[in-house]
Amino acid sequence: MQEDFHYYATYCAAFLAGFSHEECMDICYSAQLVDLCSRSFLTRLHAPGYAATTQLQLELMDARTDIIGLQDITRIWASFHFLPKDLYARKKWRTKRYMNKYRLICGPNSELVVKTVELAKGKSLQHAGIAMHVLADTWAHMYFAGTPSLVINNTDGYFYEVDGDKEKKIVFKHNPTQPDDLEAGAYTNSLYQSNENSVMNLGHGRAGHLPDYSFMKYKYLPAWNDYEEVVKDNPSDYTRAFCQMIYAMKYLKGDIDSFETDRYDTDAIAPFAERINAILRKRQPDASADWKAFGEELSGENIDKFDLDRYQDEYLQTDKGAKESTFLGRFIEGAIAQKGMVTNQIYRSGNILAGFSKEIRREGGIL
Amino acid sequence: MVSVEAQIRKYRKNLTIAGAGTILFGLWQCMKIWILTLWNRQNMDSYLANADTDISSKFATMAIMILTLLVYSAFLAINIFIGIKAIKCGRDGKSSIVLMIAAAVYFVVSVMGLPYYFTSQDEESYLSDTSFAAFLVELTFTLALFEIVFSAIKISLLEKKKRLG
Repeated sequence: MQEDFHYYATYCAAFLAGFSHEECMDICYSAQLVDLCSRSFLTRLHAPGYAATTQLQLELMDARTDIIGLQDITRIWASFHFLPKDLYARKKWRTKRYMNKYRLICGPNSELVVKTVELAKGKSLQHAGIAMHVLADTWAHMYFAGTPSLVINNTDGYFYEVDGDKEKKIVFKHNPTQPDDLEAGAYTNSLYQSNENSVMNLGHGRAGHLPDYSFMKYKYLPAWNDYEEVVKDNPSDYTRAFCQMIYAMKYLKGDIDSFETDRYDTDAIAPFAERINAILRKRQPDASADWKAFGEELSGENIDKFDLDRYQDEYLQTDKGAKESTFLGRFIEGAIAQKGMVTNQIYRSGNILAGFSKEIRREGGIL
Repeated sequence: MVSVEAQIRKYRKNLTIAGAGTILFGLWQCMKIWILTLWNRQNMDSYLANADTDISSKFATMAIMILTLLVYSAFLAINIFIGIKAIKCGRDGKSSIVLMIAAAVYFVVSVMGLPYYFTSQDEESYLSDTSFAAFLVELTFTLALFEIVFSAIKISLLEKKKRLG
């Protein structure tokens, strides 16, 4: 997903869950910051680099793809953008090496998303924002894995946009400087690389920006699905993501006792269903303006444009011992907790693609 | 249980890849023989000059070269024909009897030629590195031809199954 959903739509969902305008701003800012908190960003702030929640294109270009580099990439992308659906999935006649990657395929309503939301309970709003980013991405990025893998994330020329009974072939071109042409059906994707561990095969690069367009309904053949086609209905998935975010935030707020999978607060959006549906289905590369207008109508307040520099001075000017109480300090704490939890779960499933993990309890020291 | 559609897609993809492989192999084989022929022209000249014949050695050398190039060009043409037909069938999804027969015959001929890599060697050069490498390439090509025949038959059967519901 992109800024329109992570920032503005998350604001709307938080408001519908009952948070105040200021709380909504903290949550949505944190949700969007997950897509921008790179090592470069943290280095400028003299903040811990292991709190990075994303990698910029330039960082990925320099990333190693040996086992250490792969683990580093997987830790970030699997923890924040491609939360694995089933770490214990089974598939016949596959090697352990293949299964390690297969089990990282992202999908909604997983045990890990429950753990993600529960981890944010009782914590800061920044942590709630991180959880909402992760939850939303499980819907948009399903069927892709947060590890570089040709055999999982590759696609081929069988790519069609579905519009009712009509199908229109989608053509990919490798020109990242040119925007996608929505009318002509020409989109940009990552270059085909036959190397299994190339960063071009990370996440949904081979499908371009299609998973992040809320209006798009399409079908394609994922490499892992043995020539079976998959239909990705983004308007429907994004609606469920939105309703699930409201439900999750009501849980985080304390209005609901537990967070369960496959539960969606459709009642909360009922008065606005038509409006939300129109926003999601409008054929545009960026729905920020529409979501912003909707959010401002809901709350009656102005939603500031996302500004990456907003909280940097606060963090830089605060003493080292007190940085945890700043906005970015709380975000960093939440990011480290989320990454640690997901890495630990992947490691405990017998999968070393996210590296080693050790549980440490604050009270008792190292186990 | 894999659906019929998925199986058809799989065999169509196999046809396309095997077809491309057939064309590439033909090009490689042709290039190999052309280079060998042109490179060995002097050897051929001196061999034919010492041979007990009335024909001039230069004329004989030229004739052998042209004949070799023509024969292997014919092989290349067959490879390209089979390859393009396989790629077209892979893209259209329509099987072709001509393709199946041509690929099957070529497959049989190729299989028959494989043992000669082992039996035709003299004692000094028995299965040299080069010969073994060439054998592996030939074996791969044979498998590609088998894949074309097998995939074409499977597509035909699966399409029939799909029509019958």
